[in-house]
Amino acid sequence: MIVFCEILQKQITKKMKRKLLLTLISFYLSTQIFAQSIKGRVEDEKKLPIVGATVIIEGTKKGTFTDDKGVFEIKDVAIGKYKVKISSLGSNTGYREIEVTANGAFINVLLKEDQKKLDEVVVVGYGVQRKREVTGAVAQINGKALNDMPVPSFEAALQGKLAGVNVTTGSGLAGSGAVVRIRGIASIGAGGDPLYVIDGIPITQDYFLNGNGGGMNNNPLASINPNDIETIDVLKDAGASAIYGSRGANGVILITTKRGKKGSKKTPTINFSSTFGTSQPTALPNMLNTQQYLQLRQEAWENDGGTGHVWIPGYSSAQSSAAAREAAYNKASQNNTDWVKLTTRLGFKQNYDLSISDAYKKVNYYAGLSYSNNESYLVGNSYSRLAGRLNLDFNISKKIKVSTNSSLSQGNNYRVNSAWAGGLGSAMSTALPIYPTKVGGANGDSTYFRNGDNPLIAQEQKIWRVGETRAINNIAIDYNPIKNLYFRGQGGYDYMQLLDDQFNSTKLLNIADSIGGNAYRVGTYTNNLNYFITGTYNYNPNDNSKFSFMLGNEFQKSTASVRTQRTEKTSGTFYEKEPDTLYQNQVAPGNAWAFLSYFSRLNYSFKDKYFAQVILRADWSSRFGENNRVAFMPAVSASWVISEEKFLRNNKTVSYLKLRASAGRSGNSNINGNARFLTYNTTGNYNGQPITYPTQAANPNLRWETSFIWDAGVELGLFNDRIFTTVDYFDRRVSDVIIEGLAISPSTGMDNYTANVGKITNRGLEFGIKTRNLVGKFRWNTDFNITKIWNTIDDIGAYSQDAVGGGTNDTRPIIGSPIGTNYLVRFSHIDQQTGLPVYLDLNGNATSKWDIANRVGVGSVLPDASGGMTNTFSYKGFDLSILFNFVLGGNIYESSAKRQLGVVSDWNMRTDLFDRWQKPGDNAQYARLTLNEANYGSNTVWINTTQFLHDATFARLRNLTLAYNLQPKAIKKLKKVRSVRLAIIATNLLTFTKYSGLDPEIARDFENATDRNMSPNITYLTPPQERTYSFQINVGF
Amino acid sequence: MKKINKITTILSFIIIGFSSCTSWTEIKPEGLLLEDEAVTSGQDVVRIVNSTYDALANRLNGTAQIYNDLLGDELADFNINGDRKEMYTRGVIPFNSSSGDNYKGIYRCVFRANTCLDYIQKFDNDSIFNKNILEGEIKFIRALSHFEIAKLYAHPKGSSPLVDANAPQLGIPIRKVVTIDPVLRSTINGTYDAIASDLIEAIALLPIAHPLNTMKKAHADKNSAKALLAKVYFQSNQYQKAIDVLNDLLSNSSLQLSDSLNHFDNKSFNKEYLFQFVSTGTGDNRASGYTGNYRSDNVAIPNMQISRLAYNYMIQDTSDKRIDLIKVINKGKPDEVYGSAKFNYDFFDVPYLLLTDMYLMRAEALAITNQNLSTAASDVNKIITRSYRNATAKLLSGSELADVIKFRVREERRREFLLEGDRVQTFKRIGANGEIQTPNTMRNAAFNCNGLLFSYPQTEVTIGFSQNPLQTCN
Repeated sequence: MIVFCEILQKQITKKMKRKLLLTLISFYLSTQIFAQSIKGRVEDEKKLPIVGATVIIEGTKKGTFTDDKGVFEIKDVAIGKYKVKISSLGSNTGYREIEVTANGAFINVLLKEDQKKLDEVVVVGYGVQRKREVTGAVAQINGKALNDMPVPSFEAALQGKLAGVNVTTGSGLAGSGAVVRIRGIASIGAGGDPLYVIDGIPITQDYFLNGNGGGMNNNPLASINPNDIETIDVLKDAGASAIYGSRGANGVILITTKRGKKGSKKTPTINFSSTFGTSQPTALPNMLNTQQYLQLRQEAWENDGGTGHVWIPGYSSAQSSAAAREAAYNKASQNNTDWVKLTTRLGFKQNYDLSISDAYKKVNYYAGLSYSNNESYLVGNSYSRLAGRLNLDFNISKKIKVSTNSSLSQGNNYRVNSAWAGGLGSAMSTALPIYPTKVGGANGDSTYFRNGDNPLIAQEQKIWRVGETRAINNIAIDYNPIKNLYFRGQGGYDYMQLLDDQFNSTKLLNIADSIGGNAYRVGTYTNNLNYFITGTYNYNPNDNSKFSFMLGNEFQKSTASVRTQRTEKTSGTFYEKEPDTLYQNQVAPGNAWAFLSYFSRLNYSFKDKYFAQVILRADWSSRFGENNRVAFMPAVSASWVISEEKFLRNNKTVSYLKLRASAGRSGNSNINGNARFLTYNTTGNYNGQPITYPTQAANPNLRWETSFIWDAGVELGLFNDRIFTTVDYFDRRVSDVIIEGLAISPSTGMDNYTANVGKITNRGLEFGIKTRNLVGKFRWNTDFNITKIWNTIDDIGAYSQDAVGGGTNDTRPIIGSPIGTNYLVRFSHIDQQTGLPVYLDLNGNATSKWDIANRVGVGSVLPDASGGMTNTFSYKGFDLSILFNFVLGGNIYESSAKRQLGVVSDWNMRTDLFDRWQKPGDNAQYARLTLNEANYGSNTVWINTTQFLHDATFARLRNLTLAYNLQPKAIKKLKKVRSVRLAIIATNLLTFTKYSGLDPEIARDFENATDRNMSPNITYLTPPQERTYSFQINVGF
Repeated sequence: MKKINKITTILSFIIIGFSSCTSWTEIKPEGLLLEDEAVTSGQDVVRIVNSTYDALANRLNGTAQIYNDLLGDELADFNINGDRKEMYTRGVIPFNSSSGDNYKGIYRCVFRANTCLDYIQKFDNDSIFNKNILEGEIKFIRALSHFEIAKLYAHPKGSSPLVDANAPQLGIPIRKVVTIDPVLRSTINGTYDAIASDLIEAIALLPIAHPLNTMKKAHADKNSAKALLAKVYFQSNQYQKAIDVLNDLLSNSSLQLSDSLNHFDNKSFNKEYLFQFVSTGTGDNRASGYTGNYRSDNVAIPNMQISRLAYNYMIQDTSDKRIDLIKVINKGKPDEVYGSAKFNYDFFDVPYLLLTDMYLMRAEALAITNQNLSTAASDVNKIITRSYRNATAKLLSGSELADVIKFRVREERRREFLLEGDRVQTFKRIGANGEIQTPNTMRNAAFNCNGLLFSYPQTEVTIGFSQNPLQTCN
């Protein structure tokens, strides 16, 4: 038994041992197979560690990042042969074939500087240049950055992202345009906006095609689909913009749309994105309710010595008897209407975008289709856009390529009365809480109340749609007949049809239904034709020297006409019901103009580190008077890539250093094409006899504004460009500044006159820095920019400062002061004994009289500085982007506050007035209430003083986007899906400001170019910005 | 091969360099009428003259008259807001857009008139038009325009010192040529001399009957110019000159007073008009300023109402039939208000010069200068006879003293021209003549208060231009 047991034990032991041995061997072997790791170090040509480089084993999901010493380790790699991919921003991607043995593997990787990065091209007008060889100030932004947040129009998305580009977003109205200023403003009567060029066509960009109705100007950029944009390049100095001659001085925004690209798979690249969101105002006005309104009005009446009940606007007058006043007061007490609530809402937004693109040997294509419908927070206000694009490239032969760009969009802006025109503007002014919405009948709601302002009538009874059909198309041929000689010929056509349709119902007109309503259609039709031909010859006499000479010729012609039609006895708009009879059918001239230009650009580079450029452009234009038919705009610029010099090439700190400077002339001829003519009109008759009459005098000397601009800039990259900064100083001296229309003495009897009379100096400093703060799995990038402007008007000819009005009588061109200088009587304080306002006279002495002779320049609406900061964090599939934009200094003039917080009148007022003087000794912010402006030392209730002038400084959390990109593992489960991105987006979440009004960012409805230049940041019942919350999904196939 | 390349390159650039023509930029804006198309004959000059009447008719459609009355005491304060309130409270600031539009609108007529003068020379030999008539009309229009501006923007010419005695009293910018350059204010003497000079020339140039006038005096004729010259002299306290012109006018014309108590009653021909702005229908109503503000027959309460002061004045004498032109609304109630029935038509002509005014001017001028009082009394009696419907007890006997006639004629003027823009100008004129009036203020304003002037639009105030000082007087 013992023997058996021993034998058994031996057997078991043997079995177990064998098993155990096998197990151990297997375990050992397995640990031997997967216990290896790939270690290594990644460095650049200067032997500096490359931090944050990605190291991936091809065909696996194994990978890692290099640490701050450039070292990496990929663990748990089985023995075998692998291909490792090493990539890093700013460097060429490297591949290594390695064999992992039991001891693992170790590799040292040298990644060369990515010449492609320096060879990335920017669009410079009539061509492209490598970033390295650009001698002017050019900034570029990727189209993707424009789609990260919902904005009324694409240009608003530039806000805070580029140094030197200041964007004031339009108000919360759907489709409203932003005011874009590149390096400040240096025009008064001519348009101060940059020249917008889409795929080579300077597009129609007239903001005043449709006047300024409904609290906004028409925005010609609203119909452009931001999803179609590949890149935006901004030309800022003469070295860059002079190629656009007499139209380049305000800067040029070059928009390049997407083209067909080869996807990562063999199938076409398809992208679909959709965004849903809400719109609400960033702030709401704090208007008085009925009880408060009557209480304050009664107090004003009694302060003025009145007895009994105060008279009520619309119900009684100051001369009414005491009994009549009491009856009116009691009647008014019975209503309490919240007009703000009635005119605002929570708006909903939706956007769908689908695109497909691919590239073949002979053909590339990009096609996009998008639909969006953006409601604003104003009841009835929305902007919908259906846009399509097809961009094709045909490689006909090795020498010939044909490209086409076609876009068609239809925008429908459902407009509402706003600002001074009514709606929310009425709720902030003359729609009093004492007024009911409806009166009469058994329930008191049979007819609209009409004894005072009732914005509900237009809200419910007026249909107003502005439809914009826009087609921007071009065709280009590139021909390379012989080596180094390139030609490009391009023809473009930009058609814009604007149909402003309004229908006023019988209830709005307050006439019998049997009479019928009336309808208007104002159609503006703009045809913008353009062609250019360029020839470029590259000549490289030796390895060091390279010449490139470009000669071009361009012609552009834009014609516009305005047809006004009116019908009566109708029940709908023109687009709903074709009118039987036209009671007015009149064609008025639009803004027509033509430019013929010759231009050339000579580039020279030496050893790929010294660069020079000469530009010359000559413009003939129909806009110029007969004595000044041609404008010559020359510019020279140069740059030096110092980091390519031997003494810096291997520097461990400085990875890139470039100096550049430019000087030259550029122009601004953004004036009405008809301004130079002596014009006549024959509209109308008198006593049945025809009439003819002159409307404006000719100006044969009218010419462009000439800017002499010089710029010096430094581009510096540190620590392998983990820190990259750009600093520019610029100086722009403008002569022949145009003053338009308003300036002329009214006793001339002429309606318009445009002349070159002024001089302006505009200087500035811009600074931008991009840093990669954290690299690795958790990444953090920061992008910051700030621009400081010094602006001075040097001369306005023989005109006094009051010869040029800047909107609502608040800004004036003051010699020695900036454009947009607030010219106001200075408010000093509220007299604690009398409760009345005290002003300052010209000598600074206190006075109780408000006299316009005491107006002085008290700062400008132009900011001292502005900029933005974007922080981007990413971890695995998550990324978080936070954009703050800010404005430092400058003024806001709250023009409507003088009525809301001034003399008690037929306007509703604000609860701010609770802090008012009521008895001697009160130290109050606002004066003793009065119904009589004479008590405030004035003849008018329109008392403009510095009391309503505020510091415009603010910082705003403009955009916050939190997104998740589906990881490859999850993507693999979704067949045919290439990428999925989900994002939550919020705009205008937080605003930090001392401004007590609605919103510190103000771009209101402007009367004309002068107003637009001089009076941004003047608010007059302007609707505030919108705050949006959105959810976005983006799927790639 | 290299040679071919060079040639190709050079040729290509030459083609690009000269592929366009600068004449392409000579584009004429679509729908825009330029001078070489607009004015090609004398007929076109006639059209420009027509346009001067058109532009004036659009200002003197009641709007300019209301602006005058807002300064006076004939309007109630109901519904007077905004720009009009500044006028009512005698504090029109330079940015008042309503007064600015009126200023520019009237000067627009001057601009057009001056434009015509240039073309008259150009088409001197054109037989289509009568150069003298056109030139006469142009000068009449220019004078009328300057006169309307002077009434609102300058104190009247008179013997009483109005401003700093050492400084010349200022008038208005006188524009007699087309220019974009600013023009400073003339002195008041220079202003009225320039206006009179135009009218004297117009009288010489214009015919007794304008060939285009059939019944209505839509175009100025010799009598229109005389009537306006008389009015200009009268308003500037040049009474003897006014008498001379009026004697000439009234003795040599066959004008007759209308039987109607209402100057605006012109659905049928009104025989006493010397010059009028013509409306041809509801779509061409050149009285919209009146109808839109005063009409009292198709609304519950007129937009603008007669003041209680003016109403009380009118009803002092209940035998005056002109009271019938006042509509009492909510009579006897706390909210009783007064409207005018003068303007209750869909459209009508606006008389600018009428015989009633001529008789009243001559009567007052004779009384002021204390001469030919029987003629003065006779002139006033013509108006009294009509207004009191032949109530002989109201007539002047012809032996009254000058002061009695003067008082009575001014009373008649006030009753005749209620809401026609006359009241405040009469008050200013008499004050400037050095007379003490009873009361000597109008709604608390002295005749020489700067608040009775409008401020010039601020865009007019170029270097050296003297703005009217702001002064409230309520």
